[in-house]
Amino acid sequence: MIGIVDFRNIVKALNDTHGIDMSNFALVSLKRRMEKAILAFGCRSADDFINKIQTDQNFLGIFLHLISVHETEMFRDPSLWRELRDHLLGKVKTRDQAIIWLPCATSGQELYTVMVILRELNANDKFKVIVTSISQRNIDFMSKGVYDLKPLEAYEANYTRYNPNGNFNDYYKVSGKKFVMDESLLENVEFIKHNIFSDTPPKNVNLVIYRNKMIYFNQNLQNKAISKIDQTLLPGGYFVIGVKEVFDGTGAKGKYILFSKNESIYKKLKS
Amino acid sequence: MGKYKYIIIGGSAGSFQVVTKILSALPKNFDKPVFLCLHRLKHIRSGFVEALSIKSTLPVVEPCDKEHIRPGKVYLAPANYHMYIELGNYFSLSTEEPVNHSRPAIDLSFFSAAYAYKSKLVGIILSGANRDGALGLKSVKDAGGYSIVQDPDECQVKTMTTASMQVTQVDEVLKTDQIIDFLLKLD
Repeated sequence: MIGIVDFRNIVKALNDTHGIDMSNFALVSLKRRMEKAILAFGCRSADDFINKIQTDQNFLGIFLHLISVHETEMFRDPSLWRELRDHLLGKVKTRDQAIIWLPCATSGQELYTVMVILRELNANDKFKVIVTSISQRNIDFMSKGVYDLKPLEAYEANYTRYNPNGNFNDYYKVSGKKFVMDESLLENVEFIKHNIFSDTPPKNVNLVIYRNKMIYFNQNLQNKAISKIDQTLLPGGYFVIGVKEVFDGTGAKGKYILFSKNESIYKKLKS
Repeated sequence: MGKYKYIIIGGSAGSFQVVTKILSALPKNFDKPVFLCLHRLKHIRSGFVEALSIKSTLPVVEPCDKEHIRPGKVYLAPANYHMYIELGNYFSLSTEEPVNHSRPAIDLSFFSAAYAYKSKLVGIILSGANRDGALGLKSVKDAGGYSIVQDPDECQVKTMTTASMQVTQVDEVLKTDQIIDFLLKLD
């Protein structure tokens, strides 16, 4: 375990050398992941790791991939996806060309969930899906769509709760100890390397799916992320967060209403 | 005994009745936050907190991310999230990979609580069929807190308690009624 002083020095070195500011990340989780990253880089001490941060040309690309939290499951919270299908995605007209944005994507489980839903709605041409990630390695991983077989059973179970009449195995092929998602699912998907705090967000977005990402930030940074999303989400658009996350944009002066309490879906008011 | 301000309890198979009994025996004015990290079905979000609330004298809630910790409340780790206690007395939730096949993982909740509360914390491990919680209880003890396991002879499944006793010299091995007596004396 690294001490708090060493940890702060590491965070400072990351910001000084690479402009990656993690000082407002939730501490317990970041510290834990940092300890894993230090091990993965084969460093024996905090100073050793700081030296790596400052001198290794390949450090940042690997680090940003290592430090990200993988998305848990395809079709996590099946009731949310049913709600999105029945009340939002299934109602969009072709001429609308709606834009869905998945910010801070890491490992693609949410992306493939959305794409399977659109495929089943026969609605791929009604949507453009923009996936942003700070890590090029994460983007490469998501666009390949190759996953371990181990959690597949859980994905299948979630999918069946989402659509009892469908077959999840229509969307992948098993290859050795991996399964590979059907690449045609990604037809209308655009990947962009993007830092949510410093880069310009995609324009005119209709739906933002941002589940269980802000839990890794402190309140201060959560507010920054929300303001970035609010800048680009169109009036009448929707904002989806994790079921145990809090968003306070619905108060008297708020610009949002709660569209689904159980599923944490918010709707932006038409000013 | 007044030095202990926070209680964290971990359990799995066979712990539900024990937790219910403990929660029904605490006085209404029990002012120490109680954290529960119990293994549960990850895809069933509702029902558990309601079941625990039926007999509990204190309000039982599943905290939201960044929720502040208040006295006199029982906090249950929500389905499919890890529950951490942050410095500054609030929660954060996490969807990091399962630990010991579990999310919520007892070890992770206990590590964070031990780090935040040190000698003010009581950690209790109950009946369970997996080793999750053993290292967590050790971290409570190592940080200066008080460590208790439910008497393995009383546990429906004793894997969790015996695993805890293997990795740390626990302060007490108690039956459910004795755990309740212990908690009542903290006030």
